[in-house]
Amino acid sequence: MPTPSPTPTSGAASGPVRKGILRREDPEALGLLRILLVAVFTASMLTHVGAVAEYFSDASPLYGDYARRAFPSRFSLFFYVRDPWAVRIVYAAGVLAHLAWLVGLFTEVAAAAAVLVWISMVGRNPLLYSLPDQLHTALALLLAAMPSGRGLSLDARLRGKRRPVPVWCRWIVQLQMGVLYTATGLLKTGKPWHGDGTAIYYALVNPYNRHFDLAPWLARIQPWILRPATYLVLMWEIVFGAFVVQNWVREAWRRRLRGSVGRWLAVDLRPVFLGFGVLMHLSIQFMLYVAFFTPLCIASYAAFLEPDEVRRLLARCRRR
Amino acid sequence: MTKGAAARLLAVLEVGWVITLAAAILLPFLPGEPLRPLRDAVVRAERWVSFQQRWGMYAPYPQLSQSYMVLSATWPDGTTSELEESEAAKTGWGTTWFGRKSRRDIWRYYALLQPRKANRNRAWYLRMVCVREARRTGRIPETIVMRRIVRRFAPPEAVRSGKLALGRPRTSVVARQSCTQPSVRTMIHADPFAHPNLRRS
Repeated sequence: MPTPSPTPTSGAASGPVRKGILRREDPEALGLLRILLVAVFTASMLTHVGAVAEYFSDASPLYGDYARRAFPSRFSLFFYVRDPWAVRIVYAAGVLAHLAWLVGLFTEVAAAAAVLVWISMVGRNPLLYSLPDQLHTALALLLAAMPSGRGLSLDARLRGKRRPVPVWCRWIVQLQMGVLYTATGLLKTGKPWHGDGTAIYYALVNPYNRHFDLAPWLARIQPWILRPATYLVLMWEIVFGAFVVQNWVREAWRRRLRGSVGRWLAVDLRPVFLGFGVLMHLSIQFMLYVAFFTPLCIASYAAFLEPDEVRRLLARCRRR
Repeated sequence: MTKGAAARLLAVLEVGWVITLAAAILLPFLPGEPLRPLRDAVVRAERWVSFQQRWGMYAPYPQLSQSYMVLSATWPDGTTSELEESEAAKTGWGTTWFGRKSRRDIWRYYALLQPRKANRNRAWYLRMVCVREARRTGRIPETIVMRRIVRRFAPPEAVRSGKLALGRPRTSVVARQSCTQPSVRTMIHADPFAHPNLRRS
């Protein structure tokens, strides 16, 4: 595949904006992010198979106008399309739209249709959805607002749509992850987080979502492993937002950063922050049932990969 | 419009779009009372499309206990039966894996929140149960009673000294829902999938 060098934006925007958020880059990094995220969205969509009519149509015991009255603050197509078969057909169209979005075929239309069906599902009964789905919705809406089909897509390969994309697309996803972690970290004000450091212990012994019943063993390792891990996770979450900002500065101005502050700002902290994140999420996934939260978070880390890195990664995959 | 002017306009629109997306993420966190109306308006608009920025997982505390609901229906002949929700209170104290939970479990979790306060999600859940049971049996239950079984998690030092990790189950009544009150009756009779017995009546 030819790789045209990224084109600068018009001279219309002022210098820092042009060199910062409006800077263009090769579309493969955003393309990879699209593939990873939409693969998780699609898997999450498919877990509804077999229960679509029960959840979203008049076959639900909370049906028709009553559903609308129960959730008046939400939008859903399924407040209007109510017949069980019609709902199944809309859902199937949503799955197809997800698949088209995944492979990048008529990407913009597919993304809009996929998000419309997903938010209709959530809006029809938001109480069927939890935090991983909230992150799914946020990332899906943001990704649908970007030209994510310009790289690693059928649109690029078959329809000649390959063009550079603005760097802000990846930065918005980075911002979302920074807000997610930092807000969560700052809200954790209770004693198990700041006092005796028992928060991870309590999370791991909860029978609602634990994979293993290891309470006596967890209690034994609590002072030596789980307590330090609790403080470390809290610290990592709180400073993640600062890492995101540092990463923007590094990406945009790394060649111009001078002096001791500049040198610090130019340090690539991704291996530390994202490596810790991957390790933490995989540990959570191993120990707890958290639905699609881990795959979503790890997929979103692709937003921190730059086009050169994605190209090298893809070249290595092709060689294998 | 000249080519340069068009490019300038596009750049301005693009910056506006980036600011809109960033604002959608950040505005729900605006601090302070004076900005509250703006913050509330943004949150309301975002909630409409289910885009939410409340990230309070395990915050301010992790869960220190686990509760399950137990539902029982009282029927017109005076008999009482436990409903499907009650199963989790018997089997939900071990471990869980992908595939063992459904989205109904999440709904039940929300319906049981704030057991001592009014919870409109709970009220709608119980009305839904009235409809579901009428659909299933062809009879309208008199009352649905929601109980909560809660077990606290012992702190690690207590577990190290031999205490069980899960405390004794404690039960309390959370809510009662009459299925014969007029608004619920109307909901049952208007149900497009009502049991044939109820359609005839």
